[in-house]
Amino acid sequence: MTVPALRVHDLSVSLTGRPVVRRVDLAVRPGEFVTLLGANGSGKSTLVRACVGLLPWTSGSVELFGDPLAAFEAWHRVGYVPQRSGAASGVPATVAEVVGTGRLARRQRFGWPRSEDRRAVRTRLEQVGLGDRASDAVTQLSGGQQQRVMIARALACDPDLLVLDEPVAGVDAASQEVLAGVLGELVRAGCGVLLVAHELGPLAPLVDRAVVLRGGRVAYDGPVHQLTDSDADAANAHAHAHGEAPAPRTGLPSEGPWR
Amino acid sequence: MALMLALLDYDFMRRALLAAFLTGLAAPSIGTYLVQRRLALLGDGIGHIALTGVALGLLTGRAPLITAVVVATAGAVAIELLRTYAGTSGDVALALLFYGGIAGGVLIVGIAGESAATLNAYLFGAITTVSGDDLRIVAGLSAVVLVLSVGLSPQLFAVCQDEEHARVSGVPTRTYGLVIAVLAAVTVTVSMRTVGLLLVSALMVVPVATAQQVTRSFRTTFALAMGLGVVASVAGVVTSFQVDTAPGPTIVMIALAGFVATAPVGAALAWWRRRRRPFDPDEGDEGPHELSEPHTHEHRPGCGHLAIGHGDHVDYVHDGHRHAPHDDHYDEH
Repeated sequence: MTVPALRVHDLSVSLTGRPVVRRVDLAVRPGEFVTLLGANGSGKSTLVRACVGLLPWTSGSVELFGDPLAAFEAWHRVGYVPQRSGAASGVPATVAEVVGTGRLARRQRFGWPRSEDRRAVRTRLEQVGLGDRASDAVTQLSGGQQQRVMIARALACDPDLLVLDEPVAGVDAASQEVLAGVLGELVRAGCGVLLVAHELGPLAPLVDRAVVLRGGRVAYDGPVHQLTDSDADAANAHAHAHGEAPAPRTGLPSEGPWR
Repeated sequence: MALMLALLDYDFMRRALLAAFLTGLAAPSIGTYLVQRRLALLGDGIGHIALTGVALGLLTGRAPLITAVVVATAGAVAIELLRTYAGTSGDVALALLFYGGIAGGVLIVGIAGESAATLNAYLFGAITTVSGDDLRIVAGLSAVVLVLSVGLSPQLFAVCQDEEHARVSGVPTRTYGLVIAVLAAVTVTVSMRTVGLLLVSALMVVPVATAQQVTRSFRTTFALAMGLGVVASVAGVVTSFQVDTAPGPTIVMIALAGFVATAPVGAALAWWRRRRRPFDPDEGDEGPHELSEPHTHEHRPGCGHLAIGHGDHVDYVHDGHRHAPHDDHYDEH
């Protein structure tokens, strides 16, 4: 029995005194692709943010690779893609500089980038199809490309667990395809993936297990193709049957039945 | 050159130029991080608080530079803690500290029986009155700011770029947030003698704003801002000596002139880059393809029409339409 990359036991999280996540159990094993579905406000983002230590919780426990979160130090084993619209900040930064921050977890505390850091940045940028954009400003990239930059940044530390908070929301189909290819490779290499999503699109065939949250509780935990219509309703703000059929490859609108 | 050498004959000018050089280097270095965090006005707020520190120094007979460092640092830490833990009510709390700081300062200066002229020296700078002791403190503190802001640049950049991601990378973001706040407070006090507490934020922010008109990486923005800060500070001191104006405002006006001069360049660059920004491949791909009106021109690289990447092919902008080559005709995109 391998140690799960992430184990959440009986977890409750409150935001400003309001219980948002209630007594959730969840595990992601190495090489397992778990997707977290649910309507807006069902607690998906709150749950994953608590899992990576960004939010305190009221009761229960979170373990990363067998260590309680408070004692966990091997942050280079965790890649995180926050929910965000873009990668820009108040000062210009190049694609390579932003992806380079993903290497910090692998560096000594006060070290400057070494050649292996630069190599990792280059490799990951090529992996997401942006190898020729390394020295461009991130603001020159389209929304989907900026999202790919954030994924390259999360991968730069060679993680064993990847947590993605809505990485495909409003992202063009080409970038979704790239993401599907990258995540497929990772899972085959034994990386655990926890994906918060509204729409699965081209990622659907990769998913081993779906967990549906409803009102902060787990409403369903099992294979994707066994999701019933009512679970699917819970999984989506707009009713649509999650099912065997992956999203159509072309013409996937950012709004529509797949949202 | 002859002028510079002549200026260096004066002791007070030597000290003034050295102080200007150091503050011109230190202020934009920490200012870059503040702008990146979208906290460009933090320096202003700390300047207000530092005034209370100056006043306490005048009242107790201690060096105002020292008391200002202590009070400004305490204020900066308070602001950072309020920002982190008080959330959205933070900016109101900031305003309270700002006004408390400046009102307290003016009040205590009055109690200490100091004149408005003394107050002015701190509000708008009095670089030609920098003493040897002042210069040693300025040099020491500038060195600390420079070493930390350059040495910790990978960590500070990550924290200012995306605080949550940095935290999940195991970076102690709260500690680094405090480091930035304390460095900003130290810089404000260091620059107090050069440009004054009310203008200090300009020296932290304006060179950064100028630099980013023409840069696209953090590293060059950081270096260029420091260079521009030095040029503005030193040129300001020299100019103020020549034409007999107040040094602090002269420095700031030169820095602003630099921004005004580069703004058109930046606007042109931004326009040029935006034109070439690729279209998201999905955009407008729904529905049947629409054929362009028949035209005999053959689009190719260098044909004179703007070429823009669009997914796996290139569109050419032609009379306000985007033409995509498709077999023997062009599609409208």
